[in-house]
Formats: sequence, C-alpha cells, structure tokens
Amino acid sequence: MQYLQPFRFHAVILNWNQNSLGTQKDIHEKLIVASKRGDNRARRQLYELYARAMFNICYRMMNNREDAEDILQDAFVQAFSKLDSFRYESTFGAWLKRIVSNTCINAINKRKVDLLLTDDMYYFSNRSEEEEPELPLTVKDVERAMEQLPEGGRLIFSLYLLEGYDHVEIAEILGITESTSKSQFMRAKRKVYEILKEKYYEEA
Amino acid sequence: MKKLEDFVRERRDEFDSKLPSMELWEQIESKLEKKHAPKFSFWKLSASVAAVLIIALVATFYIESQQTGIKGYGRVADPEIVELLETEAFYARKVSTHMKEIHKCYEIYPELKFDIESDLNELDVMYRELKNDLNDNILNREVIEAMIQNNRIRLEMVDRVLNQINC
Repeated sequence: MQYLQPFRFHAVILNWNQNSLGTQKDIHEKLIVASKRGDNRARRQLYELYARAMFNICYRMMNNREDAEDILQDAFVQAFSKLDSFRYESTFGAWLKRIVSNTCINAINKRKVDLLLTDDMYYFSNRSEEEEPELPLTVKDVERAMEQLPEGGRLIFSLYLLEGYDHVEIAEILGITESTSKSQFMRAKRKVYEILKEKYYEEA
Repeated sequence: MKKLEDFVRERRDEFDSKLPSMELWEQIESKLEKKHAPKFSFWKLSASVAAVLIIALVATFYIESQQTGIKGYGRVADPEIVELLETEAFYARKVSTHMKEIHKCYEIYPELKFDIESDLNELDVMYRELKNDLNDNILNREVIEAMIQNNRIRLEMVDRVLNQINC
C-alpha cells in the first residue's frame, strides 16, 4: 500500500483549502469508488450525504421548490452518469456543487433570454457602508429578502456569499466579466439591505 | 452592510434549512436505470437476437444436413455412420465389378437378367427401408448391422452367380 502515500498527502493538502464539504473526503472515498462500480446503495448514501446542501443551492438559484427539485434530480443523474470523470482533483462536494450550479444556470438560461446583468442603468451611491444604520438580522429575513432580488443579483449573491465562489469563478459560471460580477454583487447586497430596512421600519 | 455579509458567513449552516422531498431519490434511481438501460439493451438485445437467429439457422442446417447425409451420402460426423457408408461403398464397388462380368453373360443366359435383377431389386427395397429406419433412429446398432448384412448378401449372391456361370 506504499504507493497510496503520495496520494493521501495530496488529499490532505486539498482538504486544507476546502470548505466544510471537503473535509469528509476520506470517508466518502469508499462510497465514490463503489458508486463508480454502479453500487446502488453507495449511490444512495452519497445522495443522502449531499442532497440537502445541493438542494439549498438549487433552491436559492431557482427561487422555487419545483424547479429546485427538478434540477437536483437532473444534477444527481448527471453526476452519477459521469462519475468516472471525477478524479479526486477536487473534493467530491466541490465537483458536485459545480454540476449543480451549472445545471441551474443552464435551466435559467433556457427559460430566460437574458440574465439582464448590465451595469449602466443604475446609479451607484457613494455613501460608505458604515453610514448605514445597523439592523437586527435573522436568517429567515435575509432568505426572504434574497428571494425578492432580481434573478442575476440573486444568483451572484448566492454564489458569492453562500456557495463560496469567488468573482473569477462566478464570471466563468455565468459567462460574465469579473467586474460585472463584483458590481452586481454590491448592488444585490445593497438591495437585500434595503428590503430588510423597509421591513424593519414597516414593523416598527 | 459589512455586517450583513459577516452575518451570512457566520450563520452559513442555517441557510441550508430546506429539504428536498422524500421520493426524489427514487426518481433519480429510475432515471439512472433508464439512462443505462437503452444504451445496453438496444445494441445488446439486437445483437443477442441476431446471435440466436444465426445459431438457430446453423443448427437447423446442420441437423438437416445430417439427416439428408445418410440418404445422399453427405458429410456425417458420427463414426458408426461413417463406417456404414464406407462399408456400403466397398460392397457397392465389388457388386458393380461383379455385375459387369455378369452382364456379359446376359446374352447366353437371358433368364439370369430377370432373376438376378429382381433379387437385387428386392435387396434394394429392403435396404431403403433400413435407411428410413436409420433416419428415424439414427444410432440403432441393429439397423446398421442389418444394412451391412444386406450388403454382404448382395455381394455373396452376385459372387455365387458369377461362380456358377461361366462365359
């Protein structure tokens, strides 16, 4: 088993830089190997380990349960069908997350002609962020505010802040420039803040 | 607003609050089966159907050739049948050379033609019946022995005739 040593070392380094999905790679390796062989029980276990995280990504990107479930199904079918192409270059979670995100983007692109990710029609205020009054925040309120964002903004907000992609990666996934991704994220964040503020003052 | 970003990052896990419906796995499973099934079954099924057809055709021709083989002296794999055919050929050759000699005497003994040919004819009829028996029950020792006996009688008969007559 000597030949496994460099590989394990490599895996540790990879995990060092990965988010929480990645740290359990070594446990899941057996399941991945078995799934590659077509073992249905292993596939099911993998599904159950990742379904929740992936479903929430789908939900945030598609903004409704029905589409999110369709995408989740589609993405897992794709992932298991091309599992042989997964070569441990990243964690399984990261690999799967990319399939899920891409499947969402494809579905959104199909139903809409354009994502309307344009910079030039909005005025950016120069107020610094510190000037904004602090609001009491809850997860539920933030989620609801996100759901009210326009599609492009919602996608970038989720991909950046929740799915952990940087602007270079988002630019690649959405087929936009890095600067568009950055400015759209700023705009989306401001919009979330405004929705929260509005709700706060309505209730007050 | 910086606070908003920090808040989301700190409470990241709570944002994964939604759960997919329970039956979703079954749908994925059935889609995976379907996805693999047509790829396999279409080519493999048609290939195996073709293979079965070819085997059936070859087998039919082979069996048929075996059955007609005895009648028509075709190729036959069974060693007992091969032996029989060889015996048959051996006797037929001998009988035919003897008969050539006998033919020469027909002019001198005209009644011989009728006698010998009716006897040979009778043996032929018996032989054909034995062949039919053999076709029905391909490895019957008794039938094969009767056939060889038939050949021997034929040769003995023409032998005797040839010794009796002198021309």
